[in-house]
Amino acid sequence: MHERPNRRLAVHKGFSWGEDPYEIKKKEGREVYDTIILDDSRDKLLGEQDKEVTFSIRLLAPENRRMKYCFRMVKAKISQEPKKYKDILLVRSQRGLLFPGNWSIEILEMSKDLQWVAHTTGVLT
Amino acid sequence: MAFRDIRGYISSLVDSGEAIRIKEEIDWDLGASAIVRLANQLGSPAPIMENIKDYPGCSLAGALFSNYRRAAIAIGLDPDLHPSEILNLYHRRSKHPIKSLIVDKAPCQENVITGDDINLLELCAPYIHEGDGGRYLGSWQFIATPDYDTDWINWGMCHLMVHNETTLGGLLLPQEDIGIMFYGKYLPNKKPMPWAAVIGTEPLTTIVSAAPYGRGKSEVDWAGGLRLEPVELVKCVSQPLYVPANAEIIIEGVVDPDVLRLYEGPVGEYTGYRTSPRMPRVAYRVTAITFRNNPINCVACLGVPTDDSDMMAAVLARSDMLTTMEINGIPVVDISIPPQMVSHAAIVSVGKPHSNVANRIATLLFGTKNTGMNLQQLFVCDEDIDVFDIKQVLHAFATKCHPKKGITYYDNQPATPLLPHLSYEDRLLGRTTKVVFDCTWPLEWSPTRDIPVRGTFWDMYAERTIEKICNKWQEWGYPQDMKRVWEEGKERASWKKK
Amino acid sequence: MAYRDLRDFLDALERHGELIRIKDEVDWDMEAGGIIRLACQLNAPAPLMENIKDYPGQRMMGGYFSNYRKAAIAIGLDPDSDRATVLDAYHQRIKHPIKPIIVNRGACQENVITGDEVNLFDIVSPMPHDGDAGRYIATWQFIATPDYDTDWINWGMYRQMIQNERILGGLVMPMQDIGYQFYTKYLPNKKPMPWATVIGTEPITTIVSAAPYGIGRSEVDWAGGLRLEPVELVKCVTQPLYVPANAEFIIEGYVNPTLEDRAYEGPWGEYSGYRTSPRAPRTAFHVTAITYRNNPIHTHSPLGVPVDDSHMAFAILCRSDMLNVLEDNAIPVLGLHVPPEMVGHTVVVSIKKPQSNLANLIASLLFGTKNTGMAIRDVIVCDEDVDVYDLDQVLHVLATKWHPRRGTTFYDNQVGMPLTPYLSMEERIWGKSARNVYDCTWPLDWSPTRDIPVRSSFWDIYSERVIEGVCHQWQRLGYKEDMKKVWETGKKLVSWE
Repeated sequence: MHERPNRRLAVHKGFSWGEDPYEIKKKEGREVYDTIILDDSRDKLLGEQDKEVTFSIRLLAPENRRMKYCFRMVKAKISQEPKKYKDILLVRSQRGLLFPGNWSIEILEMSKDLQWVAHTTGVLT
Repeated sequence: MAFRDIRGYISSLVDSGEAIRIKEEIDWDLGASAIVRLANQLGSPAPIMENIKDYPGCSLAGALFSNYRRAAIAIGLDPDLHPSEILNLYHRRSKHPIKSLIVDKAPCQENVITGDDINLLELCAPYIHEGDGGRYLGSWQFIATPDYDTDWINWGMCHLMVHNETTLGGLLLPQEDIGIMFYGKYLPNKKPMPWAAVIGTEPLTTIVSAAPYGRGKSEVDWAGGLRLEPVELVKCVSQPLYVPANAEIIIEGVVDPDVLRLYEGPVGEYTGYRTSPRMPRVAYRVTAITFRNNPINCVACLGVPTDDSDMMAAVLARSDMLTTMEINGIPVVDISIPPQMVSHAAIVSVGKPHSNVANRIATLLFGTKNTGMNLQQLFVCDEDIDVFDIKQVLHAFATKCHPKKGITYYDNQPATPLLPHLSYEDRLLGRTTKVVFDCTWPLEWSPTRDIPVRGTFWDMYAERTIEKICNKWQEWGYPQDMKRVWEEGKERASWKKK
Repeated sequence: MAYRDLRDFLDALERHGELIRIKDEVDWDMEAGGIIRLACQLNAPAPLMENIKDYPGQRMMGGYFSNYRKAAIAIGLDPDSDRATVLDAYHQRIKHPIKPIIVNRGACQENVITGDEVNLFDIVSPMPHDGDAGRYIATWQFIATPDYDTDWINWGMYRQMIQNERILGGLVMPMQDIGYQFYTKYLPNKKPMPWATVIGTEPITTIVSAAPYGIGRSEVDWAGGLRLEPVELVKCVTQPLYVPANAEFIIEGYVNPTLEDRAYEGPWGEYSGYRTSPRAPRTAFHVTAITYRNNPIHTHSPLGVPVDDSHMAFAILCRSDMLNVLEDNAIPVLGLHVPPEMVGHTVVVSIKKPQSNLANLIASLLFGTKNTGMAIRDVIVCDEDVDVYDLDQVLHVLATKWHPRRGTTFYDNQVGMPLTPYLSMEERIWGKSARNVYDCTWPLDWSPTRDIPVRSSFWDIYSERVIEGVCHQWQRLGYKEDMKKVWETGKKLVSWE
């Protein structure tokens, strides 16, 4: 089954797969991170531009490659403008699709803490 | 004789052409998993990748249990046997559990890391599918948890995502055994729940964790029964818990008794989709890591069939359903869970004793705690169908299932949140509809006037014609050894013996 | 270049390893049928039996069109072409019919028997299955019948059983073309209907008769189109009718214009894989002449469980008919498969979904057509990312994307066919059935990011750079499949272009 390529689902067109973050880092000389958003749209993220926000990111091109995809908490400023801040931030949906277009991020503080949330009953997933 | 550890099993797979050793450097970041995924989709040998980028000395192995041949090798049978014979041996051995035994020293503790030295990212956890929420250390492994107040140790297979150096995250459903322990006992008593993730054992020890075994029953006994030899256990270094001594990697830790959660996922699931979104899930805090020298990490790169998850259901959920039907007196001839349908469908053949037996089986199976949750569609056939030949089943479905009288829907059934066909709301609330397709001839049909006669070579000709053609088949220039096929199968065709 | 006759085609099959010559004596009584049946069930080469008991000089064969390889050879394609390529080649050619040409002499008339000499038992016709009602001279052949008052000649694959030396019996259903000609024209006008049974042509000329082609349209033009060359016809010796000049056997005759002239016929094993329809009074075909080639080859299909020639003929031709209907109605259909494994009762369609409930629009269209709608029980509709020709993929989609409640629409009180196994005797007699649509597409109102699951297939879940890397190193790692070629061939499909 699925021995050869099929068409891909049309509604997922435009959610491109990632370039190799180390290639991006080499090309642009900037660090690369991503964040996974929990809402269906990026509206909330858009509203948080240029403020100091605390949220969870993944390391995509750390010095020690073994640490790739490790989570970190950061206090940072972000923007949808790809070059406004120092480093690159990619945005993924809650099901892992990569939204098109790079954001930019300036990390003010980074810690090994994680993003804890309260448990809500009824949501079994 | 049972395989002592995964290394023995892998050698046996390689000898049978069911695995290949790859010496070229492979990237743990998508590369290794993509190879496992493609091997699954092509039905190719399991890749044993012995040179992993950034992790010298570590190996990654996948697709270790992804077809009937590998299931046969795992239990010491001839890989060319018919699936029914392989599965019936699993079923028979499942009825005779063997208790484990405790040893003092274990290969899994050749290397011990505790305290501040713990860094999960020093283990070669693969990044499995592009877009997954993180690296998954555990995908073909199990978590052992001791019960709060009995000597029951539960083993359950689940994904474990690496959050950071010391924290794993995963799904802990209240309706599962581990959930009953945590939500029913540890959490109300405000006690941390000890756990140990066991990675890389010979396959029988791992697969029993993927199937439900009932509350209070320790899967290790079942594994012993399947192996015909006890599983050797050793005490953990930092938790009050015993784990298989010959495993490759053990991660020990606790789940703290609070309700704080970490966002975990998504990851490609057994259904062949990434369905369940990123959600707040349980945090597994790590207290120790132990591993063998040159450890082999196992990856199940789940996706479209056929992969390990499909085969584990085909072997173990089948056995569970068969037991349920046997103790309820259903005259079941055979049952298969076709790997193509990711454990959502079961095909049962019966010697039909009364009308609507299909619906009796459906209510029985849909209602069981153990395997009913995944089962969405039930096909019931007469005794003349080989339920393992999906083309025979499709033919019976296309020709014997009445589009109105043969289909019954069961509305308002409980569902797991991973079902792709459910809307977001139905997934949250866990509700679905199930269906049974009755592909048997109605009992009120006259055998001579109403019931069609099937037009197969084996049904439509007298034994003397069949025998003559089979005996001469190869002589005429055809490749198939039909003489042997007839000799082996003639008893089945003669109505004399079941 | 088209095959001139059956023999030419058999040579081609043999070149591709799809033919076995059996020199041993084979009994026409069950054994020949059994051999063909087993060959079909094993997906093995077609048997050509050159030494038939009691019939020296005559030969038998069958199973020459029972898989996609043989179907590809029949229209001159590479036998290893994939299913979609074979099906699409047939579909394209069907759109351009070519008229036949008339020749004066035909090989099929090398031997002519008329009048009192006619004896159907002199033809090597088989006893197909144990328990059939008689010897079936006609199982993989067609009956040509001229229309009463137009120049339309219908070809239809209708079975004929030997009743005695000069009478055949067979099923003539009013909803089929031959029934339309007989019941609405010859019978009311009290004129005998001429017919000729044509046995043993190259496969294209025969398979077109197994699929509906519409009232007033001659299948011979369709066969010409598929062959890319006209079919050569010759005049019958006793009836006002033309038949393929290079056929192996021709049987000529007439049907009396009365409802009284009936003979008990059947049962026999049918396309569904069962002996379903019982012994019943059916049409009597009176024989006036038999003509045949020297050393004739009788073609036979002991129908039964899939896959045999009949299922392949549906898979190719009924598909084409349905595709035409969908195309005429502007349905954005990407693939359509009538899986031979499901004997034409199930149709799988993939679409790029432009609107909700498109699955039901397709179903209503197909269920309503005269031509192919009658035999269908279910329509399964999938999204564009499913290869409908791969049954394992279809099963996976059914198991994961079909919601048994939301995804099912039940069509009650539908027209049924008497040969359908799941119908009760009463439903078979009165032609009553029901149908279902299984919609396996994602709902349009689901959000692409929040609701629609992402499929985890190697080809979907990795970026092209990862896929390409793995495919290129695949054989170097020790695997046998040439994934580099597979990727080069298929990469444009995954690129969303």
